[in-house]
Amino acid sequence: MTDRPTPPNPEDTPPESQRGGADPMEWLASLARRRSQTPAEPSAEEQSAESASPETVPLRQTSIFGRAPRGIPSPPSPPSSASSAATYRFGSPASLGARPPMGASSPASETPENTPPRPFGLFGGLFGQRPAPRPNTDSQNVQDQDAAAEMLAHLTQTLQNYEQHSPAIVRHALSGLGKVGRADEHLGLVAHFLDSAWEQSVRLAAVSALGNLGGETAIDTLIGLLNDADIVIRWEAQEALDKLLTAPEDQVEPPVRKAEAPPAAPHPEGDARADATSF
Amino acid sequence: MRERIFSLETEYGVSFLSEKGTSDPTKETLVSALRHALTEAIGLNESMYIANGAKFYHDVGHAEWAHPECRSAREIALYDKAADALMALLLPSAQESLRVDGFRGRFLIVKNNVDVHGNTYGCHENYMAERETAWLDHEDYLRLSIRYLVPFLATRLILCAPGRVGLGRRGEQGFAFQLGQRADFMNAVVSRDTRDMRGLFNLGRENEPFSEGGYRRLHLILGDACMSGYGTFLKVGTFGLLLRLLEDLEIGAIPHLKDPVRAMHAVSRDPSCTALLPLYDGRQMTAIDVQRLYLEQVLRYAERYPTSEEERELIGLWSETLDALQNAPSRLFGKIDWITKKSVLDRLLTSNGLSWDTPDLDKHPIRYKLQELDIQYHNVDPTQSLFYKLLRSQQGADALDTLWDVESVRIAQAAPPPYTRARVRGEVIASARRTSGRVEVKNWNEVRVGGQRVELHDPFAFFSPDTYALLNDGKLSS
Repeated sequence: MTDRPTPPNPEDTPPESQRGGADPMEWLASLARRRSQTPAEPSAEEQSAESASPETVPLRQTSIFGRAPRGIPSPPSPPSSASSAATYRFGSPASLGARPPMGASSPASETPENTPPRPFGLFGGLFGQRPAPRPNTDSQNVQDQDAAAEMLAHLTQTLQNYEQHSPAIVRHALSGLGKVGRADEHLGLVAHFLDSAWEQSVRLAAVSALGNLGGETAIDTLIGLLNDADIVIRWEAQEALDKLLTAPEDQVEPPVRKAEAPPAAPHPEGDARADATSF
Repeated sequence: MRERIFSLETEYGVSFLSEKGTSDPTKETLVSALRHALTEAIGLNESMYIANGAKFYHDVGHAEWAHPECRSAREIALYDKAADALMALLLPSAQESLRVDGFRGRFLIVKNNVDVHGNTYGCHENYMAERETAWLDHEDYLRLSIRYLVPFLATRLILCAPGRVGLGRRGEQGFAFQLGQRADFMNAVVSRDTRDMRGLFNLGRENEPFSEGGYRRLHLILGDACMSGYGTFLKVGTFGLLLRLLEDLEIGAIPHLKDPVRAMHAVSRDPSCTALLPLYDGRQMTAIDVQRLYLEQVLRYAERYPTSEEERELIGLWSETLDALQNAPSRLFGKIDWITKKSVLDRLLTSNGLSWDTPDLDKHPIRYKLQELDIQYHNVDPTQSLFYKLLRSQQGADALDTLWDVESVRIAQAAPPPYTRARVRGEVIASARRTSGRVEVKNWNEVRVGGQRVELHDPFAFFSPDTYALLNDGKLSS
């Protein structure tokens, strides 16, 4: 068994009408034209995120076609497919529960002054005095946002230190980050793994994660991937775009439905004509 | 399959040397005292699972430690060492709780595989393995596995055995040194059973967790527990390499042992590693020769397939070990348990003008000292253990192993392996301790957090969106 996924069978490919029209670039262009006519005001959250994070590109200023989306840093020289399999290390001491330097992911309540020393993250204080139980509105619940932040940081740290890990670990981290990450914070990290030097399975996971993270920068990146040399990546990018653009029906008109022909009026001769032309 | 899950189930012997006039605690009481100490340190009440993802429980008179799912042989060797260190760390508190309950004496925990009454307890190995290959169905693939792996298993004692004084289950067959502790208890080539019929290759419990999808759990019961992490790494890692070869159908030209069980017994009783093992085709080979044939196959495989840094390290160690066994076994002192133990026992005999060939050695008073050292070698308490005393004389005062530094072992005592589902299990346990929330670890592949069920089917999945959502806002992800 190899790590590389099997390319989709052309016979399994849905008809063009179910994939968003005969030419995906065409409907995306029409979508872009429509958007440029009715720009939405950025929400307060988006505005604050833009001002807080210098790495984040103002969402409304990106061009859809013609260049790499802004706000996504260049990939940090990803390894070649051959070397990626040969250089990772499992269970390296450095990777065992080390607390990552992820200031952005730390809970807002933690400051250097009040953060208790935790030599290896969530598990660091286990041999010490057990801390007093925190107030919890539901005694059945284990709500621990510090721990959740730690889990998220574990994912980002894994991706930042990708050279220590196997492609399978990187794939799983990308998948997890796609599900729980934030577009304005993690898009750049995910985008590193789109580079063509990465093996296909890693790129696929990154494309899928982009689709889950969403946001206009992700859309721009995915559109760029529709021209990728790898057909499997092109296919996955289109799937992600379909999902991204059709899910919130109140925001974007589903391109799939737009491309579909309107239901035909009943033929005056009833079903007889259909019977006559079917074999 | 490029990556696989490795795990071990290590059973520890527990005993209590009571002071005169005081009662003896039962084995169950001893294990309960350890469990209590462990729960206080890194566990949860009423749960056998602990924050490093492992499971600790009482099993038929022994303390059993089922290690968390690990992603590599090196990692499982580390967690095995961490379990030993944790036992030693918690020994004083367990002893204190026994004293409070009225038991006075000394609590001993030994990591060996046989007691003086002739009972054996195992160090079972678990490997995630493919159920079938592209060309072979499950049954045919099993036949192929047995054919090609049994000669390796029968001879691998030379790489990783712990050494034992006494021949036969109760020592009734003679007073001599042998490599393996469980070798005399192996009586079948293949078995499903783990108690009466003990096979070199076990077919039982293949559907237990981490056998998701197209994978099975390959459960080996013939192994001995190693004090040395080097031995554990070689034991688990070399077998993992051979599974790769099998899964890629790249194994061949392996000799067929005429009687694998007898061959294993012969290897165990031959510290010179020169015993000739009869083959089906009439030839004879030593255990080192058989191992070299496997190593050659692995080297050829590694030229054609990508290998990890760890696998390349493992191949190098395997090769060095075979060379040393043939030319200078003393180079393996501190690394291979049976060589380390034997060198100390040999010195004791020599200093008394004796040898293993001395007639009636079993009637000589020195036999008690030899038997005592044999057990003391496996004591998990570094202040009492012969293994740790020897290691520290060689490596420094704080050394715990030749492979791992003290800090790595310390981290692994409380933190789970970072890249398997054990990480998720450990996270909810550590979190529940901090928040006093309710967590149940129902099984290896299921946790309940605040009454909500989270399934952890994929043993490689080190992140669970549902668990994250529960911890973050108390609700399952949609």
